[in-house]
Amino acid sequence: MRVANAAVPLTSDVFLRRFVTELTASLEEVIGREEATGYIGLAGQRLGDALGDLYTRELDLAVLDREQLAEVLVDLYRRIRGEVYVISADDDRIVLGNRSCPFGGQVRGNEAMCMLTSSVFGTMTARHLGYAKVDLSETIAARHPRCRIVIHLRPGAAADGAPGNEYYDRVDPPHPDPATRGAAPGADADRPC
Amino acid sequence: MLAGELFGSITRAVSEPMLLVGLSGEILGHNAAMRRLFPAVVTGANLYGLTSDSPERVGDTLWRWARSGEPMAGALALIGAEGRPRRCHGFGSRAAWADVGEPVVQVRLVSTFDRERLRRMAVSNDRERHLRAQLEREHEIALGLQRSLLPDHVDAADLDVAAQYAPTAYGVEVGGDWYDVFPVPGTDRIALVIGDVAGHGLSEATIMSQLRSVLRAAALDDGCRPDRVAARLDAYVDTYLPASMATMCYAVYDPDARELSYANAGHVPPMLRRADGACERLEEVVDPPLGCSLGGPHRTGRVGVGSGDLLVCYTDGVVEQRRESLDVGLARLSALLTGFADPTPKDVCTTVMAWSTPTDHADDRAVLVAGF
Repeated sequence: MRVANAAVPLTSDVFLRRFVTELTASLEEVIGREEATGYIGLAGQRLGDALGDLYTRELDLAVLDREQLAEVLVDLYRRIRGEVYVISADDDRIVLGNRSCPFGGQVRGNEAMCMLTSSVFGTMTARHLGYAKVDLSETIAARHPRCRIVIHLRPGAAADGAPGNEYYDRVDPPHPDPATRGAAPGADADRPC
Repeated sequence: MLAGELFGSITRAVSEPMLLVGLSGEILGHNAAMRRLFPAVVTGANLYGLTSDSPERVGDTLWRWARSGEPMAGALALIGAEGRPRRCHGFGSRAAWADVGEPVVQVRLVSTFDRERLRRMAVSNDRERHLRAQLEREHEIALGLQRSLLPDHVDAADLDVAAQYAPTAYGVEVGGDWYDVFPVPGTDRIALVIGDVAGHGLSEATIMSQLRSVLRAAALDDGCRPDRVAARLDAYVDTYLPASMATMCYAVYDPDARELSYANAGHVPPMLRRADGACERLEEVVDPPLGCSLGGPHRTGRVGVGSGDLLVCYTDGVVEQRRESLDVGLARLSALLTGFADPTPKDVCTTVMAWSTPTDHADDRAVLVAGF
């Protein structure tokens, strides 16, 4: 038997996808879905910021309009082996479909992974259009044949009545003056609460 | 009502520390648990001065939370009750409902301190051995106080009553669970009480002792009116124990009318197991926890009882399991009670306690059973 010649379907891409899905499943199993989505949401936000920077830098555009944004979201998933397409787009919402999950077949039953899509799409949309509410009512993870991603672009009655997670415009972080706010006593911050 | 006051009222019963803070760092509101763990976190203070994190790090954390409508993970190193910073992880999100002229975030910190404190105490050095001895002494005092306040046996001439209590599985903690049974002064009625003070420590045990005394004092005047007794305790907690939260169910058995009247201040619903095995939750009236009614009235519910019926009161530690909704725990308890054949209160008490014996219980447990 030659191990090196065995037809094991393993590449670095497969390894990393599997790692991400197993990490998510482990989080969900240990700390529960609600708190797991809090961590995945944070990772998604950071990822959305970083990927958004890649596109704006390459396209040399500070702000994307609705059409450009939809095109970016489709392109982003295409590059990571998703198959996203635009179903419709108007002033109120962008509706996308997806025939292939970038995380592969292991995503089925692992719905916490969808928080990553919601967070990346929501973060990028809110950054350029001011607000987003991402409704993932049909997902491959939930064993639907495709994902249906509705991104509401305006807060208000239509968005309020829809399920999903909300994302807000990029708020510049404050730059406090420590001298006026007072310094915290002690520096031993490793004691947990 | 200001956003911070509204936030404080709504989150008062939450046992984990919660905070409402503007992006500028201004503390707009907090709950009682936050005030207990981090006394410096008061409305009007600035978060930047209450942490040992760099201003950039605090700003980045608030900025990330402000952009998410769903709770998102993050961490803060807040100054604790001892004046030293403690790193906490938690979940924050935009409080879009708060209209105060700047983005606002609501934060729930996750209290892992006690378990972490135990782990750290395992490291042997003089300072930690001293701390450990101090904590164990506190634990012994608290447990002794608590035990002294829970009746060893319950004496009710017209009722067959059994009760049991088990402290939390975490060695140095005690709980705030309590129960009591006594004749309503000047009547032939019997009062049955079960309650739970949020938190695990000496202060909670002393609060439990206060509530027990205040309740008995209230029963001198209004012992037959559960709504009034609950209202009296509610006002006491609101006025004198603003940083505390407790739940309680106060029931009065009238042997002449064969009737049970009760008020429930946010406590898990007692179960009435009928003689034929059918099980009912007493949830006709459930009012906010003690100190949380915001001036609203407490109510009295009534239910007839017959020979062979059993009233089963318990605390949340009996039915709550991690990652399981309370309804599932209540349904499991109901099924357990239905499955008995001709049980006595003592049988039920012992079986329920054994049934709820935990592998990872963070909460103490109390069960009080009365047979009619």
